Amino acid sequence: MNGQIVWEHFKELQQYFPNVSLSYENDRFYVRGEIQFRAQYLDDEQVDEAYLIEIELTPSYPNVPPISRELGGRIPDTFHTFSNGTMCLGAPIAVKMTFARNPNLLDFVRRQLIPYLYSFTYKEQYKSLPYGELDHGAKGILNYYMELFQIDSVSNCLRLLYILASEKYRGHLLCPCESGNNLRRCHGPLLLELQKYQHTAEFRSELIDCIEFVKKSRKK
Amino acid sequence: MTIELESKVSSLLEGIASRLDISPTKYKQAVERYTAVSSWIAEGEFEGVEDIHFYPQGSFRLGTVTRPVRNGRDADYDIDLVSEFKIMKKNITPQKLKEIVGKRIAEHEKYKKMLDDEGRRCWTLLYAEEDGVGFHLDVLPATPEDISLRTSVIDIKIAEKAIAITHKKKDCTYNWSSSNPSGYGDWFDDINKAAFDSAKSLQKRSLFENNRDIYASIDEVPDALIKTPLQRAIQILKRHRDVRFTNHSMAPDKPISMIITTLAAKLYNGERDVFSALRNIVTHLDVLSGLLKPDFSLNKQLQGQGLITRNSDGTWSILNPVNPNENFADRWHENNHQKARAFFEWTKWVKDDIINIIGTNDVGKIVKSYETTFGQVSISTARALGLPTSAAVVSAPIIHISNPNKPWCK
Repeated sequence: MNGQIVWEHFKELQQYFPNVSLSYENDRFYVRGEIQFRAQYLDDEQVDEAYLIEIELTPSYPNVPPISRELGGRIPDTFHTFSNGTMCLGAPIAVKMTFARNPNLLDFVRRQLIPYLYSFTYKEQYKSLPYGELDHGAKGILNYYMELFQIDSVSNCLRLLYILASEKYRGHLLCPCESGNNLRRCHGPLLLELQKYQHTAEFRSELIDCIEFVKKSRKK
Repeated sequence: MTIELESKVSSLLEGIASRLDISPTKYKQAVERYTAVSSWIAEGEFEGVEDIHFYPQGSFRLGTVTRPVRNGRDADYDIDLVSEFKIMKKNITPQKLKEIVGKRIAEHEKYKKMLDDEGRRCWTLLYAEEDGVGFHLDVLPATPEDISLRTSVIDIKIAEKAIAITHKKKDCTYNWSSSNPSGYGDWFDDINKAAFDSAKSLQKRSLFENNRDIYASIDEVPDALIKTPLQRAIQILKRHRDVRFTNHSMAPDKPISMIITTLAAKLYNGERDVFSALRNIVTHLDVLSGLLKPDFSLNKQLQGQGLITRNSDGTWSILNPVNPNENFADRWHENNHQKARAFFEWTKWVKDDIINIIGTNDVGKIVKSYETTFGQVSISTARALGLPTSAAVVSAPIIHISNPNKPWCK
C-alpha cells in the first residue's frame, strides 16, 4: 500500500524530469520516460544527455531501492548490467545504503542513476571511467568491502564479513583487523551500521561467493 | 486565466472522458448482447409472471461509463441489466426468483459456458470479445416493490418504479432489498435535460459523421451517446478516483460511484463546459470538508445544503434522492470516519490535480499534470488537439556528482 508515497515521490521527480510517467502493472509501480540531465564529476567534462529509462518500484518501496533498466538499447549488456537487463548501479550494500539515506525517487535518480549514466556516457566519449568500476562478481564485492573497511588483508576482510553473515557480533572480542582493539572500539560500529541495510542471509551469500573466489584464485 | 486557456483545458478533459467512455461500436455491441439475453430469458416459462421488463441500470443507464482499471490495466466494462419480473413480491421468494433466472440462463448452451459463479445480487455473463475489450453483463433479478414500501415523500412517478432485488447473504440465505435504479435514472435525466437538449443536435451529427459504418442515418445515433458536461465531469471524477487510490492505504474506503454521481448531479448548475462544471462541483465539495471538524454542528451553512449532512451523533448522511431511506454514507463514521476522510482527501486531490493546476497559465504544465493523473488517454488526447505533450520548458537539471558508487556486475 505505497500508493500515496509513490505518488508524492513521483510528483517530486517530475518537477525536475518532466518527461516521465507513472503506471501500475502487476502489483507494482513503474516510472518510465526520458531522463534528461547535465552532470559533472569534479573537474571532468560536463555531460549533456538523455536516456530512456524504466524504474520499477517493488511493493516494498521505499524500504528497498528501486530497480532500473535502460530502454533505448544504448547501454550494451557488457556494461554493468545484470543478466535480466537491469542496471547494476553499485555493490548491493552500497546501493542500499545510498538509497536509505534519502529514500525517494528524486534522490535515487540524482545520486545513483545519473552517476551511472554519466559514467557510461563518459566512457563512450573518453574511453575511461571517471570514478572507476568494481571488478565483476565476488572480486568486486571483496574489493568493495576491503575499501569500506580500509584494510588490505583478504582473510581479515572475510572474518569481518563472517561476523555479519553469522550474527556473531561480540563487542568485547578482538577485532579481526588485528588492530589489537576490541571490536566495540574498532570496526564494531561500522558492522552494526551495515546490518541495518542488509539481511544476514544476504551477507552470508556474499561471504560464500567471496570464499569461493578466494579458493579459486589460490589454486591458480 | 484566459478564456482561451479554459476552453483548451475543457477540450482536453472532454477528450479524456470520451476515451474512457464506451465507444459507439462497443455500445452497439453491448446493447445487442443484452437484448439477446433479455429475449432468451423472456421466452422462458415462468409460472404466475405476467411480463418481464429489462433495462440497464448504473453507469450504462446514466451515460457515465468509465472503463474500469484492474491491477493497473484497462479492464472489461461492467453492464448491469435489471430483469424485473411482473409478479407480486409476496408470491415469490428471493431465492426462488434468483434460481429461476439462473436456471433459464443456463438452459442456453452458449450462456451456460459464459456464466460466472453466483453473485450476491446478480448472475454474471462474461463476454470475452475478439478485440480484447470484453463485458461483464450482470443480470439482476427483481420484482416491483410493495406499494407499502414505496416511499411517499418523493414524486409518485418515481416512487412507482421502485423494485425489490434479491440479496444472497454470506450464510447462503436470501432476502429482499429495495432499489430504484430506473427512478434514479429519471432523477438524473431531469437534471441533465437542458444540457442534453442543447448538446443533442451537434453531437449527433458529429457521431454520425464519425461512425458512418455503424449508422445508416443520423436518427440511428442513440441518445445514450450524447454526453453533457455533467456526464463528462462524472467520468473524469471516477477515473481520477480509480487512479489516485491505486495501491493506496485508503483504497478500501474510496468514494463509491453513486456518491460521486449524486453529489455531482446535485451541484451541477448547467455549466456549458466540462472544466467549469468540475470546478463548481469540486469547489463545493471541498468546502464541505469543514464537516470533519469537531464544531461541525455549528456550521449551519454547510449542513443546510442538502448534499452531505453530519448528524448530531456524528454519523453522516448522503441520501439517495429517489429513496430517502437509503443512506449512501451509512458507514462513513466507522473506523474514526475513515470513509469520510478518504472522500475529503480525494476532493483535495481533485482540486490540486485538475482545477488549481490551471492557475499556472501554462498549457504544458497542465497537460503534464493530466498525463500523470489520466495516463495514456491524456497523451493521445493532447496529441489529437495539437497541445504540447511534453513540457520541454524545463531545462535539464545540472547534477554535481559526489561520492558516486562504482558500478558493479555479477
